[in-house]
Amino acid sequence: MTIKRREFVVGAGVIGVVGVTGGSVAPQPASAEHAMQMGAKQTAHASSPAQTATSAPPEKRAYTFLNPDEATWVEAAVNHMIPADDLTASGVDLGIAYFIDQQLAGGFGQGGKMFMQGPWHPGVPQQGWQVRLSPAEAYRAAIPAINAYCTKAYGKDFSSITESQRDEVLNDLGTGKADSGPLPAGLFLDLLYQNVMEGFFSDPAYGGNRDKAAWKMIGYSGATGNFVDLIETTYNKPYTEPSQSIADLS
Amino acid sequence: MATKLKPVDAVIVGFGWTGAVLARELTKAGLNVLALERGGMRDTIPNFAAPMIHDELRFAIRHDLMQDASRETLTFRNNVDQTALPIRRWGSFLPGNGVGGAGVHWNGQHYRFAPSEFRIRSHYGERYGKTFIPKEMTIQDWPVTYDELEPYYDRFEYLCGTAGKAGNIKGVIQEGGNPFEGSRAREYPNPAMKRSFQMKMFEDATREMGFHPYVQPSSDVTQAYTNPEGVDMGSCVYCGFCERFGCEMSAKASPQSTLLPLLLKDPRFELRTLSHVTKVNLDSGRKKSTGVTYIDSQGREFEQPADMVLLCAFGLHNARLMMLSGIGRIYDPKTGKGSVGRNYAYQMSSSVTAHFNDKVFNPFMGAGACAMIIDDFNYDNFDHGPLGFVGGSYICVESKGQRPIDFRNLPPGEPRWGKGWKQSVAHWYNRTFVIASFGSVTAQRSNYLDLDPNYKDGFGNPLLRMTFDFSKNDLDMSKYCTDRAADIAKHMNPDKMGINYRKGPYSIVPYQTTHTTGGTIMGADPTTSAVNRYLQSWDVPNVFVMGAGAFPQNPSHNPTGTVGALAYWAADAITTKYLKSPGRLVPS
Repeated sequence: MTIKRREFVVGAGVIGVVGVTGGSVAPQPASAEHAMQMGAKQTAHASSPAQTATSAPPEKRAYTFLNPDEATWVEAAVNHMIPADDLTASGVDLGIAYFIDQQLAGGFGQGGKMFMQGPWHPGVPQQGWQVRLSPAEAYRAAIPAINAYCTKAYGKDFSSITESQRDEVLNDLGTGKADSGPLPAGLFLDLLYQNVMEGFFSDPAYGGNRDKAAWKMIGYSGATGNFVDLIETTYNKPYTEPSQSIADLS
Repeated sequence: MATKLKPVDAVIVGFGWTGAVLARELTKAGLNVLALERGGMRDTIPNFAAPMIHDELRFAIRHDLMQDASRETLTFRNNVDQTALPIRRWGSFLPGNGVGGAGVHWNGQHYRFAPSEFRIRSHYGERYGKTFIPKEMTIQDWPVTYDELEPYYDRFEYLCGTAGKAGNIKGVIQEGGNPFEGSRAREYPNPAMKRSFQMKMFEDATREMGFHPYVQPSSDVTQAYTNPEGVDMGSCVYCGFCERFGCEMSAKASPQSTLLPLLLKDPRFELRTLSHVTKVNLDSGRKKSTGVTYIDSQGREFEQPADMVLLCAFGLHNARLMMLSGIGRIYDPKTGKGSVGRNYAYQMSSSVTAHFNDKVFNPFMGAGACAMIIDDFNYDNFDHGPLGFVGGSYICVESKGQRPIDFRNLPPGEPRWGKGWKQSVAHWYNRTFVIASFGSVTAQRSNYLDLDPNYKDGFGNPLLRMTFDFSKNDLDMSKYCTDRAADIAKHMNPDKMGINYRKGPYSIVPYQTTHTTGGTIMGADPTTSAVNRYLQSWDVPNVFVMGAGAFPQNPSHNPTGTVGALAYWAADAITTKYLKSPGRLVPS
């Protein structure tokens, strides 16, 4: 499935403010539905409309780091790792590509808290990240190389190959069989995977996990923090209160 | 050209746990004390306020409360055949920074080491024969006994409001506690933490198997508490944002929640933040310190004279400061000579995951030190004879608050992404818990700290170099204990389980623990230790060196309880002996 460039949908509201675009945040489902949705039963995952639909016309956001080719690539990877299904909307619809863009534009991506002085040596794996590139530079270097590899191996770039070919490429990035340009084997996949997971599960304040969809999927309480009366009284009982973000609690 | 400041009686370098304890004890003894902290001011309000603090990405993943590695890190190699390279971003351990240091972001897991541990070399020799300990294993008896430290363990526990059930009071084993514990004078100050469902399952299973489960001693205080210093602490609400976070409730013991309010009001105490100590200054004889040099945020250099210097900057930094300042001789593994940097040790950790289709655990509920433990495979509580290794582990189920960016343990063989992965994590997140094993690391001739020849910090000083790998002894111990954890998991009959052995070589990439020890070890012999039994430098008697750097090797249990006890023990020696007669407290 081709993903149209810039056809992205990002989370409702700016940081710290809920429902800024004029629609309100989706009302939390009633307790019983919610308890079911928390996954108390193995197979009965509720697919209530409130859970998977976008809550309001989403605000369109511009990327401030990813160029159009990078955006296409990241959106394809995000939607491959987090596809739309009856558990959640797609990764792009949940804001994960936007999350990654913002992270790469900011301190993390620019290598803010990384020791970036030389001398430089490749080192051994136990010594961790030794590439002379920030995470943002790593994305910038890897993406064209991966697209070139895909074109050579499959005849089309990463976003245009089939789903099963894309899966193969991601696995091969992990082993080093697929070329990620100037990076050591596995580094880029680890980085991408970490960022996708962060975008999925972090507080919605950062742009991903729209409507706390990931938290609702697994039954995680979010930023809520008071279980003194529940920890001994909810043995083998799913937690039925709605997930709450930092904004919800502010 | 450094500006020389007015002298103080004592200067404290680094203002975390030991800095706060020493500051309080020395000001009470009438000294004018200055604490210099390289990081910024932090207090419960506003720095640890909820809901802001309940942010997994910011604090647990991006390490907001930790040392900024871009300014200063250390270099690492497994052995002398590798070139040490900078740890460019934290992984294995997370050094703290700022007022409160690692005392802000620890879990609150608060232990005492077993009595046998303090005489580990003698003990193993007596029980298993002198040849049981390999030559490369440089473990030492501590120069202090458990019995000597007991009142100081008590003191730090009462400062922190530690919550637990004693296992041995005045030699009488107590129902509900850890029967393997050393004897203590009195019960913990607060009742033990609550049990989560998974802790209860572990407790039942281990009891059925004949082991001796006990609730982890916790400095996440379980009820409103006023400590002996008169500082009010809050009560833990099991929010699940403990390790790597500050506590909004003042329920987790920290310098802020136990001592800071008193110190900030004390006219004999001054705290200067954003003041980075680069050197301990010595007089021309090199056996007396004249104070320290530090640099402020504007880059101005100051010479701060003082009658005594307390290094309280975390074990790793204390070792580096000693080396940069020429206090003691730096250890050289080729000759085996030198006292500063030797016996660096760490911690073995491993885990078993247990997955249950028909159970729900709500793993996000918890506190940093809310856990069920067994010590049956810890210390020398089991027969090492047929096994051939030194050391042991505690095995536990922790309900620390499992947040999803870091905790999504799936059974082996599950997909990593895509529709199948989503189904899997949606099902297993709430149906999984971990049985962890945390074990000892013995001191080895080849594991040590020194100064790096290639890399410097922003002040132009060499970075600390860490040379460390897991020894066969410790890997064997860890495998044995992981298998015991697997036995317990099997006993609970999970639908699926995964066993994650700790394998070598040691890597600084995955987080393990921040229990780095040694490098400034205490001992009876000045040729093989950096400080004496009172944590006083053998070479420069008006310098005292706190922290887990003092441990001659690392036992399995978490270090902070002993770090605090040793700080009170040293403070006692300073105020009752040293101040009356400054000089060597132990003949060298």
